[in-house]
Amino acid sequence: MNYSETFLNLLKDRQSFLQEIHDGKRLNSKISALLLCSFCCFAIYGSIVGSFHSPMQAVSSAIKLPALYLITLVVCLPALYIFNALFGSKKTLTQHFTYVLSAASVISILLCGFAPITLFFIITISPIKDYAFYLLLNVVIFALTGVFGVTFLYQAMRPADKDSANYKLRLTILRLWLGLYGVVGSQLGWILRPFFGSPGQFEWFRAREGNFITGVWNTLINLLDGAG
Amino acid sequence: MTPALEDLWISALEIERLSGLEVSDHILNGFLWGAYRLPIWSPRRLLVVVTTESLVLGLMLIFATPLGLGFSRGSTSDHAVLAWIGAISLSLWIIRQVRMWFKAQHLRSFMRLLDEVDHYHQVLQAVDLFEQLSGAEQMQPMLMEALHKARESLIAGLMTEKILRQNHGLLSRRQALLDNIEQNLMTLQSIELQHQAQNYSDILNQAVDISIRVQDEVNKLSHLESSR
Repeated sequence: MNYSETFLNLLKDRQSFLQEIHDGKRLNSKISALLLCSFCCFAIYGSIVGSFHSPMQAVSSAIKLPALYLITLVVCLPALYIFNALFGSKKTLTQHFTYVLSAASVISILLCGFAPITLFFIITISPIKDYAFYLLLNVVIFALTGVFGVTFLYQAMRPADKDSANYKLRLTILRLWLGLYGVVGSQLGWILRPFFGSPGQFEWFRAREGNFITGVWNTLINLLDGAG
Repeated sequence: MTPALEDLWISALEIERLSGLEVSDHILNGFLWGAYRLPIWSPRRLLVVVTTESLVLGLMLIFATPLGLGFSRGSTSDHAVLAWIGAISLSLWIIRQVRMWFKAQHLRSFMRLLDEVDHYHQVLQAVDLFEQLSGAEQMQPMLMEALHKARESLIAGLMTEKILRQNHGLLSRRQALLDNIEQNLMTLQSIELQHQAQNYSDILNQAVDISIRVQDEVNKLSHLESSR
């Protein structure tokens, strides 16, 4: 079975795909295929997003976008596995990794689906005047694909046995972990920025100061000051 | 393909069950923990290796990004960060190549047996074509027996290789499997003698060749394990 075939199976026959992960079948091949295909999809969308600014930004974003999703996943995985194992999950670390990688792959393919729309706006809007609109458009796309990815993971990893003693607890762990994934992802996104490249000179990384919460807070203050 | 020939086919799932390894046309056990099938010099396999390794280098680049950012914490220059990321990803890639080389050496016998399985499948396809052209409704029982024996030899070879690989010899089953392969070979050779004058002699020759090579491979493995 080749990589793209495995990747397409995730889209076409999700139930069988998830059942195979549940049964521990061909996990190494699945991980390999999902890693490579999601990397390609994220890189394609990243390069399109970055091309709004300059070719160098396109290269930079093609590396940074897969890094954002896949590193966040690897950083948060041990917490999910250990807590689940502690409260009765029989699944292995490899199975956990395959599940979360499947969710990331769903996000990546959805982003690729939005690529022509983003490309259309890149061609038709002005890079300087419409920067805020372009930013908003991408925030909506990332939010939408993220919601689908998270829903997929939530449904796939929900404990099967509703009568088990730790069912509610494990469900809470999963919800908390999804929140944690969002927080870690936001901080990594803050460190790796810029992804879109604000009008002006190209830069690989911005100065590392504060964290994403202080960043959002400062932006809000500036916005309110400007309005006042 | 006729149902009788389909029954003789050794499916990828069966090979995986017998060998304990995930098998594809070019990679064993996924690209992360496995190895490429040797030799890699055929044009198609070389293309797969080059494409996969380019993508793997990209993956290494993204996983090296947080490490590079960490190592260059005091530096304000983007070039220092990029140099760290490049150096780390390249080092990881070289380590991976060395590990893969050792893994490939470890699985060399298994790869040779897989080549024999491929050869056996080609024989089955040739028989199928021959049967279709001749318009025969039923295959000759002797031919079926020959193919069946070749299949048994391959299965015994794959099982022996797995046992020796996982347990490093000293197993009582080893001799039984070796005897089985030898017995099959003798049967095949006697069938070949009976059919030398018929059209099937080429196919039978190939079945005998496969079994001889399986026996040689298992003997080599067996001697290797005994000398350890």
